[in-house]
Amino acid sequence: MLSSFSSLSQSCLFPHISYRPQSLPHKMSTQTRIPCRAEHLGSLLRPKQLLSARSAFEENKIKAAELKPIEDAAVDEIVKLQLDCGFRAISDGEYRYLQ
Amino acid sequence: MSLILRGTMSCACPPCHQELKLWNSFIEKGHKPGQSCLCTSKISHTGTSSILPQFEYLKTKIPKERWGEIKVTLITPSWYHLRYIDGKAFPKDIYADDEAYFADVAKAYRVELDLLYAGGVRNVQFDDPNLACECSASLKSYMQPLTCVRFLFREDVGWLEDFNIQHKDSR
Repeated sequence: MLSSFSSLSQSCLFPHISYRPQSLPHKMSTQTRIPCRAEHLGSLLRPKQLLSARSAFEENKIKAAELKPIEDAAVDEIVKLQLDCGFRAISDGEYRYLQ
Repeated sequence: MSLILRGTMSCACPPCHQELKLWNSFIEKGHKPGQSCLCTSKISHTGTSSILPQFEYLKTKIPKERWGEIKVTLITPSWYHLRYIDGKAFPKDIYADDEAYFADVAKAYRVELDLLYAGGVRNVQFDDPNLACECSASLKSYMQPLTCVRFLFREDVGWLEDFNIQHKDSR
Protein backbone atom coordinates (compact mmCIF):
# COMPACT_ATOMS: atom_id res chain seq x y z
CA MET A 1 0.00 0.00 0.00
CA LEU A 2 1.46 3.31 -1.04
CA SER A 3 0.87 6.46 0.88
CA SER A 4 2.08 10.04 0.71
CA PHE A 5 2.68 12.76 3.26
CA SER A 6 0.31 15.63 2.78
CA SER A 7 2.65 18.05 4.48
CA LEU A 8 5.52 17.46 2.07
CA SER A 9 6.12 20.00 -0.60
CA GLN A 10 8.76 18.24 -2.64
CA SER A 11 8.85 14.97 -4.49
CA CYS A 12 11.30 12.17 -3.96
CA LEU A 13 13.27 13.58 -6.86
CA PHE A 14 14.58 16.21 -4.42
CA PRO A 15 15.48 14.22 -1.31
CA HIS A 16 17.62 17.01 0.05
CA ILE A 17 14.53 19.14 0.68
CA SER A 18 13.26 18.64 4.18
CA TYR A 19 10.04 17.30 5.50
CA ARG A 20 8.86 19.25 8.49
CA PRO A 21 6.08 17.61 10.49
CA GLN A 22 3.33 20.07 11.19
CA SER A 23 1.90 18.47 14.28
CA LEU A 24 4.95 17.74 16.40
CA PRO A 25 6.70 20.58 18.25
CA HIS A 26 10.40 19.81 18.05
CA LYS A 27 13.73 21.07 16.88
CA MET A 28 14.12 18.80 13.85
CA SER A 29 16.49 20.27 11.35
CA THR A 30 14.96 21.76 8.22
CA GLN A 31 17.58 19.79 6.31
CA THR A 32 16.33 16.41 7.47
CA ARG A 33 16.85 13.90 4.73
CA ILE A 34 14.22 11.37 3.80
CA PRO A 35 14.54 8.56 1.30
CA CYS A 36 11.45 9.62 -0.61
CA ARG A 37 8.12 11.34 -0.33
CA ALA A 38 5.78 8.43 -0.99
CA GLU A 39 6.52 5.02 0.42
CA HIS A 40 4.68 1.96 1.55
CA LEU A 41 3.86 1.89 5.18
CA GLY A 42 4.88 -0.52 7.93
CA SER A 43 3.05 -3.79 7.58
CA LEU A 44 3.01 -5.72 4.33
CA LEU A 45 0.83 -8.70 3.43
CA ARG A 46 2.24 -11.91 4.83
CA PRO A 47 2.69 -14.98 2.64
CA LYS A 48 0.55 -17.93 3.65
CA GLN A 49 3.48 -20.02 4.82
CA LEU A 50 4.51 -17.28 7.22
CA LEU A 51 0.97 -16.84 8.51
CA SER A 52 0.67 -20.58 9.15
CA ALA A 53 4.01 -20.72 10.91
CA ARG A 54 3.15 -17.69 13.05
CA SER A 55 -0.15 -19.26 14.08
CA ALA A 56 1.59 -22.49 14.95
CA PHE A 57 4.13 -20.58 17.03
CA GLU A 58 1.44 -18.63 18.88
CA GLU A 59 -0.26 -21.93 19.67
CA ASN A 60 3.05 -23.36 20.95
CA LYS A 61 3.09 -25.97 18.21
CA ILE A 62 6.51 -24.89 16.95
CA LYS A 63 9.44 -23.19 18.67
CA ALA A 64 11.01 -19.82 17.85
CA ALA A 65 14.00 -21.58 16.28
CA GLU A 66 11.63 -23.23 13.81
CA LEU A 67 9.78 -20.00 13.06
CA LYS A 68 12.87 -17.90 12.37
CA PRO A 69 14.03 -19.53 9.11
CA ILE A 70 10.50 -19.19 7.76
CA GLU A 71 10.50 -15.51 8.77
CA ASP A 72 13.93 -15.02 7.21
CA ALA A 73 12.85 -16.60 3.92
CA ALA A 74 9.73 -14.41 3.80
CA VAL A 75 11.76 -11.28 4.60
CA ASP A 76 14.26 -12.21 1.87
CA GLU A 77 11.44 -12.38 -0.66
CA ILE A 78 9.78 -9.13 0.32
CA VAL A 79 13.10 -7.28 0.39
CA LYS A 80 13.87 -8.53 -3.12
CA LEU A 81 10.41 -7.45 -4.28
CA GLN A 82 10.90 -3.96 -2.87
CA LEU A 83 14.33 -3.67 -4.48
CA ASP A 84 12.98 -4.92 -7.82
CA CYS A 85 10.13 -2.39 -7.62
CA GLY A 86 12.59 0.44 -7.03
CA PHE A 87 11.49 1.27 -3.49
CA ARG A 88 13.78 3.57 -1.59
CA ALA A 89 12.99 2.87 2.07
CA ILE A 90 13.27 -0.89 2.38
CA SER A 91 11.71 -2.60 5.37
CA ASP A 92 10.99 -6.16 6.44
CA GLY A 93 7.26 -5.52 6.18
CA GLU A 94 7.00 -6.15 9.94
CA TYR A 95 7.01 -9.84 9.09
CA ARG A 96 8.45 -10.72 12.48
CA TYR A 97 5.34 -9.45 14.29
CA LEU A 98 1.75 -10.50 14.54
CA GLN A 99 -0.30 -8.97 11.76
CA MET B 1 7.71 -3.15 15.84
CA SER B 2 6.63 -2.85 19.46
CA LEU B 3 9.22 -2.25 22.10
CA ILE B 4 9.56 -4.79 24.87
CA LEU B 5 9.46 -2.43 27.82
CA ARG B 6 10.38 -3.41 31.33
CA GLY B 7 7.30 -2.99 33.49
CA THR B 8 4.79 -4.09 30.88
CA MET B 9 2.97 -7.32 30.20
CA SER B 10 1.89 -8.42 26.75
CA CYS B 11 -1.30 -10.42 26.46
CA ALA B 12 -2.68 -12.04 23.34
CA CYS B 13 -6.27 -11.31 24.30
CA PRO B 14 -7.13 -8.51 26.67
CA PRO B 15 -8.94 -9.94 29.70
CA CYS B 16 -12.29 -8.35 29.01
CA HIS B 17 -13.96 -5.45 27.29
CA GLN B 18 -14.23 -3.67 30.61
CA GLU B 19 -10.50 -3.06 30.33
CA LEU B 20 -10.93 -1.24 27.10
CA LYS B 21 -12.68 1.83 25.94
CA LEU B 22 -15.76 1.08 23.93
CA TRP B 23 -14.26 1.23 20.49
CA ASN B 24 -17.22 1.08 18.18
CA SER B 25 -15.23 -0.72 15.53
CA PHE B 26 -14.53 -3.56 17.96
CA ILE B 27 -17.89 -3.80 19.69
CA GLU B 28 -20.21 -3.29 16.76
CA LYS B 29 -18.65 -5.95 14.59
CA GLY B 30 -17.96 -8.34 17.42
CA HIS B 31 -14.23 -8.35 16.87
CA LYS B 32 -11.95 -9.31 19.70
CA PRO B 33 -9.24 -6.76 20.37
CA GLY B 34 -5.82 -7.97 19.37
CA GLN B 35 -2.60 -8.30 21.29
CA SER B 36 -2.36 -5.68 24.00
CA CYS B 37 0.23 -4.44 26.42
CA LEU B 38 -0.50 -3.44 30.01
CA CYS B 39 1.63 -1.64 32.53
CA THR B 40 2.46 -3.78 35.56
CA SER B 41 5.24 -1.72 37.18
CA LYS B 42 7.39 1.34 36.53
CA ILE B 43 8.27 1.37 32.86
CA SER B 44 11.82 1.50 31.57
CA HIS B 45 13.89 0.29 28.67
CA THR B 46 15.61 -3.08 29.10
CA GLY B 47 18.91 -1.67 27.79
CA THR B 48 18.91 -3.94 24.76
CA SER B 49 17.12 -3.16 21.52
CA SER B 50 14.88 -5.99 20.35
CA ILE B 51 14.56 -4.23 17.01
CA LEU B 52 18.22 -3.76 16.13
CA PRO B 53 18.76 -7.45 15.18
CA GLN B 54 16.06 -7.06 12.54
CA PHE B 55 17.93 -4.08 11.08
CA GLU B 56 21.16 -6.09 11.15
CA TYR B 57 19.48 -8.84 9.15
CA LEU B 58 18.23 -6.39 6.54
CA LYS B 59 21.77 -5.09 6.11
CA THR B 60 22.79 -8.55 4.86
CA LYS B 61 20.19 -8.30 2.08
CA ILE B 62 20.65 -4.68 0.97
CA PRO B 63 23.65 -2.93 -0.65
CA LYS B 64 25.80 -1.09 1.87
CA GLU B 65 25.31 2.27 0.20
CA ARG B 66 21.59 1.99 0.97
CA TRP B 67 21.79 0.96 4.63
CA GLY B 68 20.83 4.51 5.63
CA GLU B 69 17.51 4.14 3.83
CA ILE B 70 16.44 0.98 5.63
CA LYS B 71 13.25 1.76 7.46
CA VAL B 72 12.62 0.62 10.99
CA THR B 73 9.07 0.92 12.27
CA LEU B 74 8.11 1.44 15.88
CA ILE B 75 4.66 1.36 17.33
CA THR B 76 3.56 4.75 18.51
CA PRO B 77 4.14 5.35 22.23
CA SER B 78 0.44 6.03 22.66
CA TRP B 79 -0.33 2.45 21.70
CA TYR B 80 0.49 1.34 25.23
CA HIS B 81 -2.32 3.31 26.82
CA LEU B 82 -4.75 4.80 24.33
CA ARG B 83 -7.27 1.98 24.12
CA TYR B 84 -7.76 1.49 27.83
CA ILE B 85 -10.14 3.04 30.28
CA ASP B 86 -8.78 5.22 33.02
CA GLY B 87 -6.75 3.24 35.52
CA LYS B 88 -6.24 0.18 33.33
CA ALA B 89 -3.35 1.15 31.05
CA PHE B 90 -1.31 2.22 34.05
CA PRO B 91 -2.54 1.47 37.55
CA LYS B 92 -2.86 4.47 39.82
CA ASP B 93 -0.56 2.92 42.41
CA ILE B 94 2.22 2.87 39.82
CA TYR B 95 1.69 6.20 38.12
CA ALA B 96 -0.35 8.90 39.79
CA ASP B 97 -1.09 10.78 36.59
CA ASP B 98 -0.69 10.79 32.82
CA GLU B 99 2.39 12.99 32.83
CA ALA B 100 4.42 10.66 35.03
CA TYR B 101 3.47 7.70 32.84
CA PHE B 102 4.16 9.56 29.59
CA ALA B 103 7.53 10.70 30.89
CA ASP B 104 8.70 7.13 31.53
CA VAL B 105 7.39 5.81 28.20
CA ALA B 106 9.04 8.68 26.36
CA LYS B 107 12.29 8.08 28.23
CA ALA B 108 12.23 4.40 27.21
CA TYR B 109 11.62 5.37 23.60
CA ARG B 110 14.52 7.80 23.64
CA VAL B 111 16.78 5.00 24.88
CA GLU B 112 15.58 2.84 22.01
CA LEU B 113 16.12 5.59 19.46
CA ASP B 114 19.62 6.19 20.83
CA LEU B 115 20.40 2.47 20.50
CA LEU B 116 19.03 2.38 16.98
CA TYR B 117 21.04 5.40 15.94
CA ALA B 118 24.21 3.97 17.48
CA GLY B 119 23.51 0.77 15.57
CA GLY B 120 23.36 2.62 12.26
CA VAL B 121 19.63 3.14 11.81
CA ARG B 122 18.87 6.45 10.09
CA ASN B 123 15.22 6.07 9.08
CA VAL B 124 12.55 5.44 11.70
CA GLN B 125 8.80 5.54 11.37
CA PHE B 126 6.30 5.62 14.20
CA ASP B 127 3.31 3.62 13.05
CA ASP B 128 0.17 5.07 14.55
CA PRO B 129 -2.98 3.18 13.59
CA ASN B 130 -4.83 5.33 16.09
CA LEU B 131 -4.54 8.30 13.75
CA ALA B 132 -7.15 6.54 11.61
CA CYS B 133 -9.63 7.33 14.39
CA GLU B 134 -9.45 10.95 13.31
CA CYS B 135 -11.74 9.90 10.46
CA SER B 136 -14.54 8.91 12.82
CA ALA B 137 -16.45 11.44 14.88
CA SER B 138 -17.31 8.84 17.52
CA LEU B 139 -13.81 7.41 17.86
CA LYS B 140 -12.22 10.83 17.74
CA SER B 141 -13.81 11.67 21.09
CA TYR B 142 -11.55 9.03 22.69
CA MET B 143 -8.41 10.48 21.23
CA GLN B 144 -5.72 12.46 22.91
CA PRO B 145 -3.77 12.64 19.70
CA LEU B 146 -0.05 12.87 19.94
CA THR B 147 -0.02 13.64 23.66
CA CYS B 148 2.55 10.98 24.46
CA VAL B 149 4.41 11.63 21.24
CA ARG B 150 4.67 15.28 22.24
CA PHE B 151 6.51 14.13 25.34
CA LEU B 152 8.94 12.32 23.12
CA PHE B 153 9.63 15.43 21.09
CA ARG B 154 9.82 18.05 23.79
CA GLU B 155 11.79 21.17 22.98
CA ASP B 156 14.65 20.17 25.24
CA VAL B 157 15.34 17.00 23.28
CA GLY B 158 17.90 17.53 20.56
CA TRP B 159 17.80 15.30 17.49
CA LEU B 160 20.50 14.51 15.02
CA GLU B 161 20.20 16.02 11.57
CA ASP B 162 20.82 12.75 9.76
CA PHE B 163 18.22 10.79 11.74
CA ASN B 164 14.90 10.75 9.93
CA ILE B 165 11.97 10.17 12.28
CA GLN B 166 8.45 10.18 10.93
CA HIS B 167 5.03 9.70 12.44
CA LYS B 168 2.43 8.14 10.17
CA ASP B 169 -0.89 6.46 10.14
CA SER B 170 -0.34 2.90 9.05
CA ARG B 171 -3.85 2.39 7.64
